[in-house]
Amino acid sequence: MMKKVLAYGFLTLVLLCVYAPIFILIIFSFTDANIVGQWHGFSLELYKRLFTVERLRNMIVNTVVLALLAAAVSTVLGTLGALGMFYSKKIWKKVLGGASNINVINAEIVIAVSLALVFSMFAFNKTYYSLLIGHVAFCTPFVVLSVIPKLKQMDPSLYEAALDLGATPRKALFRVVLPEILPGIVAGFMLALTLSLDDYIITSFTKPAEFDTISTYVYNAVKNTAKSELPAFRALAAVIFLIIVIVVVILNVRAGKKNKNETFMKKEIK
Amino acid sequence: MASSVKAVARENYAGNEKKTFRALFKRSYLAIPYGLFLALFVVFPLFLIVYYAFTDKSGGFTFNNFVAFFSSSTYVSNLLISIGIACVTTAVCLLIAYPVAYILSRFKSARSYIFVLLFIAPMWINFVLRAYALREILNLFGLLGKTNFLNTVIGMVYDFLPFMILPIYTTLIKMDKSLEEASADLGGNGAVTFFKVTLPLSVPGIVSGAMMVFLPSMSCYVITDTFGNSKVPLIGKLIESMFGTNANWNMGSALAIVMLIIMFITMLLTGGFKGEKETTRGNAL
Amino acid sequence: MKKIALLVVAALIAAIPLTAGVAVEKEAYAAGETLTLKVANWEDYIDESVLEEFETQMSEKYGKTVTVQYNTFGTNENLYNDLKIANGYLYDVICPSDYMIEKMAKEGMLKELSLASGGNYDLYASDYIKGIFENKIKWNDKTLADYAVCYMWGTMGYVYNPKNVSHEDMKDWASLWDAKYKGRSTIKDSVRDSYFVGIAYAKKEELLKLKADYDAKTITADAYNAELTKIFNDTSEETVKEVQKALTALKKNIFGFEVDSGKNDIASGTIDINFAWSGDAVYAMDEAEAVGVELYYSVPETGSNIWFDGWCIPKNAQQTELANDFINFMCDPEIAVRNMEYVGYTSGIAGDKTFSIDYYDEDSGELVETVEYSGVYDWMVQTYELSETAGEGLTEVDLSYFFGDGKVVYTDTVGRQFSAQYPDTATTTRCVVMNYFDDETNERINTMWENVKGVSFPAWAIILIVVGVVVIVGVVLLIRFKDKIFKNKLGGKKGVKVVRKEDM
Repeated sequence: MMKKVLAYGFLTLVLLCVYAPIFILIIFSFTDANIVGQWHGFSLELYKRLFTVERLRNMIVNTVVLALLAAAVSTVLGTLGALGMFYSKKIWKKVLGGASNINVINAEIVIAVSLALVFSMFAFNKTYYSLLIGHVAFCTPFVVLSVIPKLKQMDPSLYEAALDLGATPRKALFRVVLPEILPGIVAGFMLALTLSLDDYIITSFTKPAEFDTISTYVYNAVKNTAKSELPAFRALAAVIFLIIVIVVVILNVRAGKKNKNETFMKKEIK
Repeated sequence: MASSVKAVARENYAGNEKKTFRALFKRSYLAIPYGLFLALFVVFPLFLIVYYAFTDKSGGFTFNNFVAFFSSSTYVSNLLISIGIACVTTAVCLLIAYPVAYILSRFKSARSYIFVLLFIAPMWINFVLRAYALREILNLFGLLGKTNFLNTVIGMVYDFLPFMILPIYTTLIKMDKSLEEASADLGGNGAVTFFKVTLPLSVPGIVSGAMMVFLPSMSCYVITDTFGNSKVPLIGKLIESMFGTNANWNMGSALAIVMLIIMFITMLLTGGFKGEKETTRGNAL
Repeated sequence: MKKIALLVVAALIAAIPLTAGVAVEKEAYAAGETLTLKVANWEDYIDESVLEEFETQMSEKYGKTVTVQYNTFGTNENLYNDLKIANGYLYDVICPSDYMIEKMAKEGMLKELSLASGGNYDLYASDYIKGIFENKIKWNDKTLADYAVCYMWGTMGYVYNPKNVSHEDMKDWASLWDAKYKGRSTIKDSVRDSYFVGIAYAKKEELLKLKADYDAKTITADAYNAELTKIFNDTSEETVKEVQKALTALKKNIFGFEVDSGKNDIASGTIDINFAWSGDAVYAMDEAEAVGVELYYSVPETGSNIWFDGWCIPKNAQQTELANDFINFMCDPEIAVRNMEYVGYTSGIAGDKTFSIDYYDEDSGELVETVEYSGVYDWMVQTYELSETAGEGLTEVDLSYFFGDGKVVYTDTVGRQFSAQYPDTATTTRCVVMNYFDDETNERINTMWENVKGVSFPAWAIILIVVGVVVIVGVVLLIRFKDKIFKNKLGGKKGVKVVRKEDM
């Protein structure tokens, strides 16, 4: 019992630390002061701005669309890559796997500058394409890392069996292998999405100048003035937090149902 | 080429000659797009960095960038401080993340992954924003401006914690629980079981987590700017300013090479991501 | 799961028009139906409604749809790099800072402006600003005025909280070094701005002597300013060394280096002294005022830096005519005032032209009032509620240098927003332009700055640490190899299993 209390206490403490800054953002999203920490009286002005100012909307849409696109491309590329790698000869597996892992552990700034150097040689330097490639380059390895373990867990004879039963390789891949590794693919997609949403360094080195994501705007608004849209992002933080809460509640309810079903089944068996 | 392969494959299939067909379609071909992508946008850029690092502004071959780096006590000290910060960050992350992952992995219900989600979800709110808010909290405690190194480490840990929790958690839930039970049956108490069985078995997770935290924390200059009031030198900041305000790409590339060398050393030390070490952040999602 | 996949696909399809839209726009532009002006400016540095008005006006003028593509950049150097890589094709109008304009112009990256005489710049720009552009920065037979037109300008000084800092101390740059204010001040995380503070400290005696000469009227204002310019632009090796020493000492005394957090920190009371651009000073004072704190702005008496951002046209701009129109448009007093109200900095435009501005209620969006102004001067007088006649308790502020002869106003609040936005003649006399450093000097000064910001361990410590690290790495490697050997002896089975799995 004591152990349990300690465990829960520790978990709560860490979670509290993780969420404390977010709570600060949420609290100060209800006042229209430019500076976090100053209270100009209760106001929903920031929420109003968040939903009405076109520039803000553009930035949010830009960030989300970029993240979705990057995650989608990374997922396709990474899943194919993982499949191919898994079925390759050992030497290729090593070479590709090694190359793939470079961007996982490499410092972000090195990835960013190396890409910037390459793009500076091409006409699409600092366009949407360079930005997308930059994001795909650092998201894809994580998709690969999510998919490979699922491939390893899979029964290797499944694919062969499908072929023996007359399926085309494509069918065997799509109908047999893909469903097996789907959890890994979904996890990879979500991870890529998260990484892309949160990125600043690579974005700032590859983005076109007329394009701002939330991070680059927040960080580059050096001359931010009285009319800056910066404070409105506190309201965005609150909205995202709300979404997180809703997702967690839904998952919780679903998990609860699942648990019930499982215990029910166990009883039946007994 | 590809279409003709398919045509042949179809023909063969029609003729029900599965053997030939299997020989023609290789699943490993699926990796070709990713392989090309890696070659073009991961490996080639690194070679380009090497090229820039060994040339001067006019394009002539030179070692000067490296000479300049290793002869400047500021640069070398900067690198050493960065390594120090990265080590401390990794250690603190591990100290916090391991118990968290351990507790989560002991949850019996399916709810444990919801808790894991709770640790990753903050990443959906932009880090720069969260950083400014955390800065206010440090200010509230009177730390800001006084303990720059501590603040930097706090910021780093805050940013990189999820990257440490996930791999450890993934390794722990995959672990064969019967081993622990066996240890208990053989009379090992909790501590013995943990140190002799659980901890050694979760080393791969720790290693992947450490690798994901170590190098990025050497370069995350956003954090030193925000929490260390730019008083804490970081090699990443130096690289950024070489490509930005100093407009010295060659020197910047040389610095990047130094970081790459460190990366390869860490890969060597940990054996990269081999075998079961391919535990990921994503699995838990 | 399928549903999620469908949603993602739908979202992606929805996203395509966004990117495709850009391409379509470019095609139409090539066909000559639309004129697109590519402007590059600092983030949040313009009232965007002004751009819309420009589009409308120009569409009428050209009989085609004119659109402005508004780009932003974070630092002068980033703008420079981008232009260099794209060989100047990237933008039609850009807005770099003083030294960067000079550098770009000297490197042949800019096109000479062709502003019509009798145009807005000619009519409305302040003579003071024109003088700086025409006389302060010259090379060969060119001046800065050939390439650029001032957008916003200002001074550098202290924003401070008089509750904790004495007004007297803020007349002296050396106060930053004063142990009294340890941990209570910030300076810019920028090599140029900090270099200049370093000089002010290192050359304090020289500067004081010069000031005494000027006060005693043994030298003219012009000569004084010229001498100051020389001192503040001194980049000799010896001076750089002195500055490094000064700044290294300063580093220990300040709260931190900042890029943009200083103005928030001073407004929230985290610090008491912030070395700031005048425009940021106005912002900080406004923010602090909202919570009942009065901050002040001061330009120290031994001299300071005057900075400006200017519009210019890159060498290979594709819409030169439209770009010149844009610059002309930005020099209109009404437009200048609207930008000033939005940005909070000081425009280089001083002229008189009657216009009116509508003010809306921020919450309801309803029109509150329409105010008519007879020019920039009138706008300033009304905004800051200045008096044009002397009175009790009022201080005289001489603005004739900027607005022309006889423009003297009286105010009861010296050292606040008004003083930051419009410095008086005495202040501008001691403010000088900092030139750009050539590549060699730049490298020397950058190295100096890195040394200041970095920590330098003594050689023995470095060797000790390196040896330590190598030993640790070696030991770990050894353990790893040992581990491998150990595994091979014992766990052959596991290895075989893996190989079999991989080979399948």
